[in-house]
Formats: sequence, C-alpha cells, structure tokens
Amino acid sequence: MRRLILTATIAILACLSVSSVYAAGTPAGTVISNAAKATYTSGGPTVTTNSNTVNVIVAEVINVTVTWQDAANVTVSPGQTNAVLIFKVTNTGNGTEPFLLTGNATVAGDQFDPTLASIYLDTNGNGAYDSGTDTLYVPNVNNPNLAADGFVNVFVLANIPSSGVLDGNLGFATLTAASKTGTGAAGTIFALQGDGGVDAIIGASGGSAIATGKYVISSVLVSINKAATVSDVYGGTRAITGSTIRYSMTVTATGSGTAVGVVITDVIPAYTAYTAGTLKLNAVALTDNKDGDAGDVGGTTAGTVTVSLGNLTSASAVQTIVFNVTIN
Amino acid sequence: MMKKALFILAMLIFTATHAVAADKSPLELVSVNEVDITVKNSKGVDEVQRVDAAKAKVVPGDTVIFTTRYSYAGGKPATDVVITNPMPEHMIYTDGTAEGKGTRIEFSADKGASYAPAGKVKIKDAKGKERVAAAADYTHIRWVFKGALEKGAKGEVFFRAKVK
Repeated sequence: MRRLILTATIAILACLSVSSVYAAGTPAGTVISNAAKATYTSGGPTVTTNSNTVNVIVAEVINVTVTWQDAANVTVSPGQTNAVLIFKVTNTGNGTEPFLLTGNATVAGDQFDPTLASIYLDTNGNGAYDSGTDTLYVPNVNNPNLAADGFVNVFVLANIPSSGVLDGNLGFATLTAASKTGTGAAGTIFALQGDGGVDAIIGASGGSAIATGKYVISSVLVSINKAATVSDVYGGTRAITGSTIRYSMTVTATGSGTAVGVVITDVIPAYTAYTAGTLKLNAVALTDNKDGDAGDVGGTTAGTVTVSLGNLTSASAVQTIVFNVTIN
Repeated sequence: MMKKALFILAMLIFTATHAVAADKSPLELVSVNEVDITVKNSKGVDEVQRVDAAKAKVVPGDTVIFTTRYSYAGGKPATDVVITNPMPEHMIYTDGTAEGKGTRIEFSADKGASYAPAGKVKIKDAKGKERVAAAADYTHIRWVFKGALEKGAKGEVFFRAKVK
C-alpha cells in the first residue's frame, strides 16, 4: 500500500514538472486553427467534406511575479551602506514585456527604515551583486524587457541608520515590478498593445507584483561595570590619605555581532597614584610597561590604564580588569 | 488557333465550376469556436455569455468550445457518417466534454491512426511502453453516427479544450 502511494506521488510530480516547463503558456499572437471534416456514403463511394476553418488568435496576458531571493534576513550593522537585498522578477505572461521597477524602504511593520540607495540589474546573471559589473537601474531608461517566462535578478541597495537601531531590529524594503503596457484589475484590456499587435489583457497579477526583503540588525553592546573597594591603613574602609582604592572593572559583550578590537581605558583619578605592579586581567598580572602583554599604565596614554581585550562576542567570558591606587 | 484557345478556356471554366460543385457536399459542416465569458447584466448580476472566440480575448488557460454544426440535404440517406476534429495545436482536451447526439465518441492519441473510447486509448512512451492516454494526449476526436442521416437532418457535435 505504501509503495502504491509513493508511485502515485511520483506520477503527480511528473505531471507538475511537465506543465511547469512552459509556465507562461501559448505565446501571444499564436493562431489556433480549427476545422472538422466528415466522411459518409450515400449509395456510392465514401465522400469527404470539410468545414470552414476558424482561426483564433491568442491574446497577450500580462502577468509578473517578484520574489525575495535571500535565504534569510540579511544581516547588517548600524551605519552600513549599500546593503544588498536580492529579488527576482519573472514575466509569467505569454508575451514580451518591459517592467518598471520601484524600490521602497519606508515600509510599515518593521522596527527601522533603511534608506533606499540604488537598484541594480544582474548583468552577468550570477544571482549575486557584483559592484562595478552589474548595471545601475534607471527607471524608464533601462527597464528590463522580459520575454515570456524570462526573469531578471534585481538588487536593492539600501543604507542602514547608524543610530537608533538595536540588535535584532528588522528593516524592510520592497521591490515592485509593473508592466509598462499597463496595470489594473484582471481582465483590463489594452487593445492592440500586445506582442505583434494583438490585444493585451491584464492577468491575475494585475500586471504588477511586489515582494518584501528584510534586513536584521546585528550589533554588539559592550558594557563596563566598575567597582571600587577602599581599605585604609588602619584596617578600615575610610577614604583618607594613604588608603588604597582597588578598582575592579568587568567588561561584558551582549547582542549578536562581534565587537572588534575592544580597548578599555581608565584615567587614574586625581589625587591618587597608581600602585605599581597591581594591574591584572582575568586574575593574571600584566606588566605596567607598554610591551607584549594586553595592558599598560601610562605607556599608551599618560596617567591612564589601557587594556586591549581583542574581539568580544556575547559568547566571550566576562573580562575582569583590576588595579590599585593610593590616595595622596 | 483562336478557336483552340477559346476551347481550352471553356474547359478551364468547366473544370472550375465542376470543382465548386463537387465541394458543395450535401453534408454541410460549419465549425464554430466560442468561449463562455462572465459579464455583469443590467441588474449587476454575473451572467455567462457565449461569444465568438475570434472576437473574445483568448489567453492561456482559457477554455474554448469547439462546435461542428451539420446539416444534410442529400437525396439518399447518408450512412457511415463520421465527423472528425483534429485537436487544434496549443489546445488540451478537457476530459468528458465531448458530446454529440446519436454518436459514439472516440479519441485518438496517434494522429488519427487508431481510435478508442475515452479512457481506453493507448499510447506508447519513448521507451515503447504502453499506457492509457490522458486527455492531454488526444490528437483527434471523432463522432461515429450510429444511424443514417435523412434529408433535412441537422445537429451539432462539440467538445471543450483549454489553451496551453
């Protein structure tokens, strides 16, 4: 029984693949010719007679689809320019049509608005944006002229706001493709404007299609928590001359991106002096001099503790920096 | 010389007239191709109208109704009457739509070489394996009249097919 069902599924798939070979259907302008004939006898040899021939010319149906091609939300960082969304515009009608393309980055339902920068056509047909190779789209100057079943990849480039966006925020941009012959309700007729002068009719798509592409913000937030512990020379915790202040800074990365080359600087407070040899990173002592290790005191910037933490992500361990000063 | 030329001309005219007369068969066939379109009537209600396909805007996916009207004017009854309609190019027969009163309807999937009732037509695939032909495989439809057509007999046979 299971095998039977499987066979049936394969048969259906086979049918589907056959019908999708020529999705747009019979080309506009095709003449469908029909005539019947009859044979009969009436007391003699067989007689053949023909009907008149009726010719029906296939009109052009205007249909288009736009699909967003990126496999997932396109990851962008705040302030990124020319972030690319990939779309595919397909002429699903049965005639050749030019299509006007319109991008829009002010779309409802998202958390930030990208700024539309430009639209490019995939000149080399590789489905990926190639700066310097692909052609800048200029409305009504180089509208893609697509044959029936033909398609073009279109790249929408937008700029991402540098502020006011948080990790995980979504920003939408749309691409619309509209037939230059016309758009409207299905069934709207544009007389004699189809291929070869046949009538053009708006199909189910309305002659226009739109798709939405999505950007997602990937940003990392580095936060520093600084604590001070005072101990005086009498075993108490009063901040008096000669007391030691132990500063402890914990550095944490949150969000989805990578903070590249994180450097923590902390100015030695006025009326205090750094206690030589007390700088530690993650409980490991660092020399005070600017040398091979991650930190120094006064070497990079006078009167300042500088510690380089490298790249941090949310997966990184909390970084702890400790040093002592004495109150003058 | 002149006489000979006139004679040939007369022969030509005779032949031409004769050909026209032979073409004018007592069994007359008129082919009509129509489509059903839905329009709003004066009361704003959808109404199906049957219109000439040549004047309608036929596009892929549309269904065309192919009708053959016949009328017989011969002195003697016509027997063994068969009306054949090749499936027009770019069309796919819509299963179960062929009709014709007093006829047996048969289909061919091999350009008219052999015929069988719907569902019993066989077709060979590229590997020579035989299977039952689907409506999309039909190349011809024929209506085999069960009885003779008397003088003055009139009727129609029809089928529907979809534009690919």
